[in-house]
Amino acid sequence: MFLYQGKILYVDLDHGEVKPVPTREEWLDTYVGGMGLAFRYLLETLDFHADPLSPDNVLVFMTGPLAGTLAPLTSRLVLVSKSPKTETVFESNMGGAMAAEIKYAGFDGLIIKGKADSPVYLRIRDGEATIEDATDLWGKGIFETEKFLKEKEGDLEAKVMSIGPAGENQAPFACIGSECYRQFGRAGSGAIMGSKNLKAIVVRGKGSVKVADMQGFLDYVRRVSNENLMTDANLWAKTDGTPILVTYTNDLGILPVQNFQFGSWDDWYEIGTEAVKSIKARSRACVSCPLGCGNFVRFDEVRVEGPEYETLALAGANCGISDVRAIARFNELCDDLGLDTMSMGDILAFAMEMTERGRHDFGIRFGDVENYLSIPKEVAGKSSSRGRELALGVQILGKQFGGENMAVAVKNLELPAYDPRGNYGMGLAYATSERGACHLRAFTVFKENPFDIETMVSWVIRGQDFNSVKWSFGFCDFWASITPEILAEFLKFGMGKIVSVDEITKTGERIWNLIRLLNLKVGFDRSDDYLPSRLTEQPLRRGPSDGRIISKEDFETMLSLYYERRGWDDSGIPKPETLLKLGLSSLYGD
Amino acid sequence: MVTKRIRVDWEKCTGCKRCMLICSAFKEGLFQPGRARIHVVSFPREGVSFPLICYQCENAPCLEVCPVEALKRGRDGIILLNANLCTGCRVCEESCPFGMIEILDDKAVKCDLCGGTPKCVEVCEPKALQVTDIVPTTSEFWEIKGKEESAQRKREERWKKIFLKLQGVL
Repeated sequence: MFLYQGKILYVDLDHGEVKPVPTREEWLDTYVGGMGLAFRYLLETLDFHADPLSPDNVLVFMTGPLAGTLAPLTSRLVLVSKSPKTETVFESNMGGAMAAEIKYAGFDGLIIKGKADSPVYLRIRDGEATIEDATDLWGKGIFETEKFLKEKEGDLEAKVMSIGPAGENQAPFACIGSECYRQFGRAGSGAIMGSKNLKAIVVRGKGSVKVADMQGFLDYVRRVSNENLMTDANLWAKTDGTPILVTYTNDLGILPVQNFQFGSWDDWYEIGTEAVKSIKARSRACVSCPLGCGNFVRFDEVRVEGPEYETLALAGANCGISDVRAIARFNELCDDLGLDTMSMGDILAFAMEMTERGRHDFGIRFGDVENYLSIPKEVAGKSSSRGRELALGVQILGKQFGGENMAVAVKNLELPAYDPRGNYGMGLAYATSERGACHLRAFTVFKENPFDIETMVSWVIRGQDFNSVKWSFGFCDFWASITPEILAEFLKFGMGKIVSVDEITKTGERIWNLIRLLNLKVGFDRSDDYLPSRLTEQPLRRGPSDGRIISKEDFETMLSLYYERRGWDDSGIPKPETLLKLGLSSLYGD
Repeated sequence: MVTKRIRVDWEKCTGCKRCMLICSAFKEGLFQPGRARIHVVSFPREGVSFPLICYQCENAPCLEVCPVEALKRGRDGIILLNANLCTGCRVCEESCPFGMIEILDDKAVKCDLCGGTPKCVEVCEPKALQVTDIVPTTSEFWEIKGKEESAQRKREERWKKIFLKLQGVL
């Protein structure tokens, strides 16, 4: 089989069984791989009423068809499951080397359910899989876990993904880490692994990925790299990486400062791209990527790939922390503990404001580096009452301590670092993302007319649809100028399959609608597509959007128009004709 | 005679493994890093990757030990394999102190610099790989003593050695 390996590994931790099963080829035309295929498998395997932290929840890891080839920026590994953070279904994807390694080991994806009686790790090697004891690893951080397992394998090229103490203790925003600094970051993937007593997954493969027309494929890689990829739209990733965004969001007035009270910051330069460069040792890349956006920084005893923009903004400006070295320390700490730096940053910012306003004393104020660097350990280990509280996240704490007006989250997921009061499209994107406040479904930050409802609705829909198919192919977000034509060309040379641009666009829309259906099955509806009151009632201060809110009326107008344009009814349920058009009718009866 | 070879600047290597991917594609017709003639390993915690290449040695053990003269020095000093003559006897694999020639499917496999313009160098965006004719210094070699071991083992040992040696400056 070209591009695909034709096998999915099923793992049943209840019974300690592993079983390779043929990949459902009939789904490849309609869902491709990665995000789309993973959600299609989730529909088949998940009990939608399952507690996300129960053995009934399912982890679906899925590669894209191009993973393991020279096609650039195709190393994203997708994970879908039901989130302990948001209770929704969710997708999360990670770069690095794991997606390619899973392919070389002979699999397109892994589907894991059940719960082991005691800590275990999954070992996958050239088509074979075993479940191994991990009792000795329980309690260890991600860095040590990886080192231990690679040494045990006696193979430097073995790849590991694992959880740290945060995942073991089922902190709702625990992540899964790989290659030390790459994560399935958001919505609690690490807690799900923890709930299954699954400490790690080790993968090593010596196999191959085949393509239909190698000469055509290689020629196309060269051509598309020269003509499209290595151009100004994407080269920022090579020269700067995501820290460059600090400059842009500060200029636009949408940089979150001190728990989303302000939109720009006098100290922005201290946490921007030049600050990161001042401690940078070298660039790092995912497999097959010529851009290499990762900034590996090193000073004193600190070593970390990062901090990325979201960490600089949410754990920097939003916490009133202007020391890039402190942010890098925080980043390294969270990566080892297995905590999402975004939620952790926002939660600290919330705790700081709550304390300063005398609403509840969390013992930390804006700019307090000492507590900022000790709280992540308390949260991951649930080792203090403050740590156990803060693990709950801002939405729950806001309700508990009368600080709802300071709790900036959607569907219990803390906000990314683009304030929607300065860009309405991001507000709609956060409200309609399947996993709560997420900036990776649609990204309208650099679009013109950011307060024009119609313009923003149309960009959000286009973004969600195209990103859904982009992540089904396994492409990275940072190939910003990629087009449906390029996806089609890769399928042509890779598989000898001719797919029209229209079909690719429709595939994205199909996947987005499928995800909506899944969340409806879980029990979400229009009332869950909302924005927190800080954004709808409290004006943003400072910067170009000073004084702006995104009013409830404007938001509801935008949401209704969005549903209408999507072919959904006013409750946000896809209409029968929409489902029919997308070939989804049979999937949504019950 | 001037010998062409690849020179590695590990400080520039991002660990993307495009060199291994293009090598296996060009030489084997599929994407299979395990069958590449260049090998890269990453040490993620230290954020560093080390490509290992064939030096096209001046006094090449592989060339000297081949009992059937399947290895010959060609243009630009590149050591070439004649697969028709190769019997897969492994003597060359055992002789190379660098683990850069090995037997895969009963035939020796080694870097031939793609005839002088290596594909790996072409796709190396950070320019960690360059073609040079400068004779390598021994400090670049990281050779290992246990010559009878498999190529894979030898590479593993070299990677560990490089890593330990450079740990202070990583």
